Amino acid sequence: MKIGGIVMETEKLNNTIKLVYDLLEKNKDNPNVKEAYNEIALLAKKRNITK
Amino acid sequence: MDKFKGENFMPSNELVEKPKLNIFQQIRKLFLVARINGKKYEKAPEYLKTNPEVVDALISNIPTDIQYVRDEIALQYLNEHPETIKDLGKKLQTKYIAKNQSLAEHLSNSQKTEIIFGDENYELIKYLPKELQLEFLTNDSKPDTSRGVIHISPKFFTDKLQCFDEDILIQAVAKNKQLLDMAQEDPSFSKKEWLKILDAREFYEQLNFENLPVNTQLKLALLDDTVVPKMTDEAVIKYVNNNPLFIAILSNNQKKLMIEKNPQFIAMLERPKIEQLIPYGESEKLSFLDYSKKTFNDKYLNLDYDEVLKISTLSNDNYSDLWHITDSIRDKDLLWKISKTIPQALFVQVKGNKFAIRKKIQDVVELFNQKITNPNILEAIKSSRYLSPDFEDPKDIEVSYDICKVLTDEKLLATADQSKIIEFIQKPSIELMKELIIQTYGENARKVLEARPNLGMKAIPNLRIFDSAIFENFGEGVVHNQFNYDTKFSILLADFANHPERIAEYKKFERLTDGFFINNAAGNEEKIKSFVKFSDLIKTINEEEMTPERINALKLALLDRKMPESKFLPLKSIEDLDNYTNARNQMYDEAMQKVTDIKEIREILSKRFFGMPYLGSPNIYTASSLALDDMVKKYSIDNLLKDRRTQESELLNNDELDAIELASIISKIDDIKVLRKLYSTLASNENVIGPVDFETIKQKIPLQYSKELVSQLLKPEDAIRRAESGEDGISIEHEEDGVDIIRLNGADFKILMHSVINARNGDSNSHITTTPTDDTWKNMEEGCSTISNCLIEPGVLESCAQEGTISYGFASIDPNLIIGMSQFDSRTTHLRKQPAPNIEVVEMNYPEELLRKTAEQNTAADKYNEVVTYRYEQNPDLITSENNGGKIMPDYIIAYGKATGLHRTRAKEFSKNNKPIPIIEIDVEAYKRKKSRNMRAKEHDEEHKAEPREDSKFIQEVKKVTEEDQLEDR
Repeated sequence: MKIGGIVMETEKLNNTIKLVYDLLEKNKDNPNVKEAYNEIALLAKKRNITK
Repeated sequence: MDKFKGENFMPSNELVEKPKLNIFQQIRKLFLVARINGKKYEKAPEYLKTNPEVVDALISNIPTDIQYVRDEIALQYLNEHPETIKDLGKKLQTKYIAKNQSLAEHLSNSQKTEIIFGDENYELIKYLPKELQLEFLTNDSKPDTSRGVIHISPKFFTDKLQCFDEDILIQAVAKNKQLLDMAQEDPSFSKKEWLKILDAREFYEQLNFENLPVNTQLKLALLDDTVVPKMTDEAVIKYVNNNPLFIAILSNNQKKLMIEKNPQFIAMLERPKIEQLIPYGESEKLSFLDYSKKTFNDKYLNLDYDEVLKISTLSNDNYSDLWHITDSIRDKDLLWKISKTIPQALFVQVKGNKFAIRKKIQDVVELFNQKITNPNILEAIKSSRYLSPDFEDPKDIEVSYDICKVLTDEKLLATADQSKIIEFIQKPSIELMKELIIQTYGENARKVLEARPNLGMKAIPNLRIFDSAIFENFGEGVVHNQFNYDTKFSILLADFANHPERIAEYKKFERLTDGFFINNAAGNEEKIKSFVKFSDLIKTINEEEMTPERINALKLALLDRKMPESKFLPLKSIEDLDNYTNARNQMYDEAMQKVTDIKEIREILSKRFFGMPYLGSPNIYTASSLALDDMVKKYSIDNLLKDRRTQESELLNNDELDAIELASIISKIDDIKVLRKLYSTLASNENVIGPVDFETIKQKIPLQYSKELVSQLLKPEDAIRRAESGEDGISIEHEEDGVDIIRLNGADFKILMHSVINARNGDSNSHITTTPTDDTWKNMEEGCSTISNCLIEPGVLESCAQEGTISYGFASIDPNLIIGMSQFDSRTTHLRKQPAPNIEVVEMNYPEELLRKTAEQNTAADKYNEVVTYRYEQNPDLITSENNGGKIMPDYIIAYGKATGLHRTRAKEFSKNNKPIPIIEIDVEAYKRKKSRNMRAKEHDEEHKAEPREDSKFIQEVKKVTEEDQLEDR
């Protein structure tokens, strides 16, 4: 099986993660966002994405 | 009191100038003013009655004497002295307010309440203080009137909403909604405030928008779209604004209204929803509501060949749309052209009106008379009882369709033995059909047909698929797949055989979408349907002009094809393609601005940025219709991301894994405002990942699990090696009849097996009975195209088979053949020849987790997992006549306990390289004893623990750093 006709751009992914991170950071005290924030913070850290 | 500005009261539209008073008149006026009362006023001459000073004196003296003044004069007075209304008494107040409602504003609150509730003059509510209006709509109230205290709850006002100030109404709806939301989120709050919540619920349920201005209705819908079903027709038309995404939230009557305005909207509804729109007992009207049929019926007289090709390929029906064609298309040249590609168009339904059946046969025969020139064949048609309008047995007519396949194949008519054709028309049989096919199409066809001895006439969709152009351009595997699955690809292949120049278009489409479709039965079905759907566009595409942006837009459209709303986005030209991304995004953006429910918000966000719905169809999984929430749950994303094997995978790189994690994180956001903000943030930024980036990634996840599962299966050669090396718990015996018996009585193993004869439950879904040959497996044409397997290991044995069961073990299958897996019975619809079976219960996972969760089930009977696989190879290059059209074969036979003669027979029948495949005997009792020992040693849990279950070192380090940072931040 051939899978992989599309290559995702790292820069795009980083930018997307940063946008989500920034938004969730502003709402990190919201209990409905907390879990997502904790996880995006880890993901951003892993990819060296800073605020 | 102020003097009137004018000399005399005059109706405002009276432009006649009043004469000034003479000296005598002025004296009389002075006397009157000095001693004025109602009676004196009444007796006064007209020139004094209209005099402002007189009127002013009269009303200033005793306000209720206004009753003696003519209405227009009184109203003009009140207009200039509105506060006077307070002093008039209820009767007069009501009278003048009826003529000029704004006067109510100057009443005291108690006066207003009296008129509103005492006289039921609710129109005046809007003149009450705003706080009071809000109170009425959100709390129980007890207004005091001359009739006593009235007890009213918010629902009392649900049909009087137009009487309220618009801002207050909006605030009230918001407040009630907030209350209901809080009640839903917090049961303790619900219990505490049950009365308020009851009021709010009743208010909501009984909201009546009938008299509300359209703009107010639209504002309320933006606040909460659950009120949309209450909107008036005019308002709902404005709200929907031709955006198909809103159809689902409309009431049935509103749906009907919108479908009447735009029949295409019916495409947004599933069949049961459409049925709800039909009054009870009028189900025959359904066909008129069905968009595809409606389009077909409306246009059939003008249909061209390409349109018929499109309808028949894209329809999920079994060609039923085409059965009307012979009745409808008068142009015999066109009908002949269609029939040569889709002989199904000439199918005669044997059920129903006998007259209609006769007419259809006559039409079909007439077509042959016009198009076939050979007089002997025409004579055979005339005398065939299978093509006779005077048929006696309807079963004969069923066979007529198979004759039509032969008679519409011009190459066959010109090539094959004429006497055989005539014989076939007189007495059709599969043997004769095969002979005619081989005579016409030669060795390629012979190979395929000889490999499928059980193929029936009905299973051959058309004969043109045997054309050399098809073998040359698509290969033998694709021809076999026309029998392996019920697929509309056969229509395209016949079209290509009849018009080889069109193959180039398909090849162009394949180049443009290289790597996009999964190369399996379901993926290929998606591919051909996409090709047909976008055939107009593909024709106009010049590959050299396909920029990356255009390729991306095309792939986005291919993804969107599964979303019904995509039907509303035109895509027939390169200009359409250039506009496509904007058009689809605008559709979602508009919807996002209007919907208010978190589920709908998630749905739009998921479709816009991930190219898939958020929630899938309940209890139905197919890889191609995967939803975001399903992906997170059914693909066990949390487990996937933690596992070392994922991180070391060659299939998924770090970016792809992080994109999966990002999707999983987004799916955990549970706040409407944040989701809205996220949507607008991503929508306003071009440099973000989108649906096309995500498509390939999500295809790889199940494959990652499948690859790991297959890699851990007990391979026959490894089993033999382990046994021969003296490993404990595994031994081998070479029997005299050439069968190797591998005995497992303690060694570890993982086996994927399919039980064909189940000692307890009879035959399996393979439709294989106790037939003492392997013929049914190798040559089966009528059974399922998928197989339900069970993954067993020493701790999970009992429920998958028993002593006496004959099971086939698959150890060397291509991981791509695995369609789904679950720690339960997956409830798969193993329907015959279905390219993508519906699986109700799916939880893809690494094998250890799958087995651990299986073992966790309560009873032994529940400890049954299912791994669904295809029966056929998926890569068409691996499908040959030599391997029976790509059928997968077992690597060994499995016996619980001792192998029987039937196990041995099977082992010999499935011989590979002239050697029987091994039999694996599993000593179930030995494993039970071992399990008991393990349990006593409390080792059981460890045995089933996924390895590794902890975060990888890398993740641990990252977590550590993050925790440290968070501490620093504090």
